[in-house]
Amino acid sequence: MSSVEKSDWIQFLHRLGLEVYRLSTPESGRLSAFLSVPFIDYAGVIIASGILAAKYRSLALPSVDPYDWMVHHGKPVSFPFELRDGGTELKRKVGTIVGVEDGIRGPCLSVRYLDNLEKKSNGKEFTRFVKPRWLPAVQELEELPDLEAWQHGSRLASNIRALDVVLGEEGAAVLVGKPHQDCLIVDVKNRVTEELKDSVELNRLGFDGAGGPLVLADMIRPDGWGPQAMRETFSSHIAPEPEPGWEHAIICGSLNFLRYWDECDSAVRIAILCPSENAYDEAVGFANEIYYQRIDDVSIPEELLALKPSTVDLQLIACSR
Amino acid sequence: MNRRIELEHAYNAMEKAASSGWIVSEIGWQCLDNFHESLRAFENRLKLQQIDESWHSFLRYCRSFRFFLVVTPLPALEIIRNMRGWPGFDSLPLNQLKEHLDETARRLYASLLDSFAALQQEHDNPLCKKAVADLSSTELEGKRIAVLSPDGRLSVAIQKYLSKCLNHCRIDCLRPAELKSIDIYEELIVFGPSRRRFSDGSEFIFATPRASSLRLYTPACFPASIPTPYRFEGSPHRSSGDSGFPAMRSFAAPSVTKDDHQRPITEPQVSTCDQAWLDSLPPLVVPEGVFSDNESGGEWDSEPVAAKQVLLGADHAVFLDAESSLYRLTRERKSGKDKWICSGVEHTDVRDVGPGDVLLFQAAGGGSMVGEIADQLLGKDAMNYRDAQNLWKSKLRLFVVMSSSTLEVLELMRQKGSNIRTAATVRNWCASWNIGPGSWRDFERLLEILGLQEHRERIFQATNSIRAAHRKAGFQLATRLLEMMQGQSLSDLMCNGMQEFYGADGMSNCKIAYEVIAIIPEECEVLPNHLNQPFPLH
Repeated sequence: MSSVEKSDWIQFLHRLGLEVYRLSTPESGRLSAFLSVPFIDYAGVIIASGILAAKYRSLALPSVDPYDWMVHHGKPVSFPFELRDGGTELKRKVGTIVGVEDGIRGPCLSVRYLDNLEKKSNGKEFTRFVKPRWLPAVQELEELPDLEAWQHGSRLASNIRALDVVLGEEGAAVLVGKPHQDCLIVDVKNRVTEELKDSVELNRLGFDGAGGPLVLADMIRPDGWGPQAMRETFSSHIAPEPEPGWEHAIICGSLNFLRYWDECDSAVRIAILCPSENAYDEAVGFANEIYYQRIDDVSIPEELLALKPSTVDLQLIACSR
Repeated sequence: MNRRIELEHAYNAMEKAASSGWIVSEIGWQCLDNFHESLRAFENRLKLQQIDESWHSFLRYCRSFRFFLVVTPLPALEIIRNMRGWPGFDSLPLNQLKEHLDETARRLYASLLDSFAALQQEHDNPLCKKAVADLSSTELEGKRIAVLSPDGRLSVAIQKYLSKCLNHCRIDCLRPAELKSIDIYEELIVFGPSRRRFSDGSEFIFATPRASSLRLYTPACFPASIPTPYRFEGSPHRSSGDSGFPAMRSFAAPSVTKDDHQRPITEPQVSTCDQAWLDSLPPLVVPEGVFSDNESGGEWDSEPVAAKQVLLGADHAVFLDAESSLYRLTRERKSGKDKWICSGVEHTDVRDVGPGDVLLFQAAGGGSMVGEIADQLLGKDAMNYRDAQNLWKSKLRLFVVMSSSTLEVLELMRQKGSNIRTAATVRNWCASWNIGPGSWRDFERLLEILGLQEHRERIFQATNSIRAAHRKAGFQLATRLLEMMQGQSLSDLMCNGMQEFYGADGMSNCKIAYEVIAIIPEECEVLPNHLNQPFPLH
């Protein structure tokens, strides 16, 4: 196989996110990564997907007893809703708890909801068991919203199958179940949100291709963007400048790096630079200055280096500033 | 097309380019050489006569003509035609100006006009001719070719001219900034030496070129030097390791072919693989040190010293300490050919330097390579020594972080009697490239501040050994470079009055040779750190 075929920039960037997450430990100091890529586009979101994949793959789903919900009998809730016709979309719907019934795999929470599926009966009420994996994501509502307005549901993920492959079923359920403050992307919001609409084949991320393409927005889930259900279960934030409280920060662009690196208080910081930027030289000089003040070197895994495209440069260090 | 699909295409194209690198053709061009040398000689004469100011417009025209001849595919006549209407290039009062020329200058002026006329006789630009020949032999039917244009005013002319020569391709004549886009071309063609791209901010075309295939055509008298694209210090991507994957460096390792259809050029082959040389270096033996010295602080003495002023080629000058010595390059004419080569390097006193001598100055050190060689020289002890160095450096860095400033260390050092002047010194000590304080007394004070007195002997011995190893490594690199210079062509020096000599592959050290034009009789006073540092005159 030629080297040209071997290199895959998407797999490299995703893997970089995975490794950065893996290498950042409380003992390692503040992990900093500097990356020079030929194009700044997509780099931030794909690295973020790697970070999130590394985090959620290792998370176990909290155990929830469906009988605990019985005290809320008749109360309104919102719950994840998988289509049964082989579709890949995951929605959030609202309904009322009607009870717990014994299913094949144990007791299941039963919810009554309104649906608009024409092939069944338009606007009729249905009852659905909530799968055990979605129980932690069931949310109690203060009052029952307008069911007519909610009969279409609100999209939680475009392709939950792909999320299951990348994060594992439990990790995917945790990700879409509630909001998380995982990853801050300092970049141009319009461009990044356009990128999030795109999808990536799973084999480009190093997984078996079954499961269809991974929609980047399903994974990155920026707050304040997308359908209401996604906005309420965000994992990331896209901002023009750093904000406190985010574990991982990806600073895209030489100017952003020069302006905001020192202001960023995230434990893990990744700077993405591009040689065609006007401030690139200055940014590289700044990165090298930080390199000389590092407290430790971080050895880059060989597997990651083997994936690195020739046009990409990478530096990983532990530093104090 | 979806932007990501375009990106896929772009990354793939660049991977192809990275695996093949730049294809550089250095082309012998006798008429241009003659014009270049005549112009240089005439300029020098005007400077000596101190009338170069009044000839400024004429010289500017000649330099621009030479520039466009080298950086475009256009033949001389086409360039002259295009420059005719440009402001500042018309109605030069040459007859009046000529009256002030002395006999030598008149002769040089006549020679310059002759060479100018000879260039106009050429119907083709040899650089373009070679490019067309190369491209015609490849499958480029309907493909997009990007040609860099140095000046928007010539873009149309270049596009028109090349479209005639390569009528089966689509030619886009672009300014460097236009190559920042995601557009990817089948071929990217650059005319002229690469060096000028370093300063105009378009170096990125060498680091992330937007084409699958990269070609650079330059006259042999202006050799190409493709910049190394990666820039992160300590980046682990200098080599591909065991992955079998091409390292980024392949962009910077061009395959150079020398076209000798006009003048034979036989450069001595310099080995680019110096691993064998590195491996053969003997281990270093460092004697036990006596760690006492004067109070120096390792900082530059700010007292001015007397210096000689020396005018160098390429419009440079340098201050030299009259009582010191430096390297002088010796040259010889290659037998039977009008070509100078470097025959060796000798040490000489500054007071013996005269016009016509070629002096050698340090342009860049060995960089991180010095550390690597030093560790090799230290052998199995390197790890222990580096551990000792890391012990005090990490403690110092922690101290600086905890106190949020290097000023506190500076203050404590001063309280203990140190003469260090600025916090920058403390910052330097924190940096990995710095071996340690220049004065043992300061070092001792620092260790006291850090509470590391009981490790004094170990740390001092380690510092002494590392410093000796670095010195030896630097010396080895310099020696190696001087060896490699032997037999190298001095065509650049003869044409431009200066020439750079680089270390072999993987070594960043560089020396630069300048021809001495004149020595100013009056001495002047300069700061010591300004000595031996050539600087441009304007």
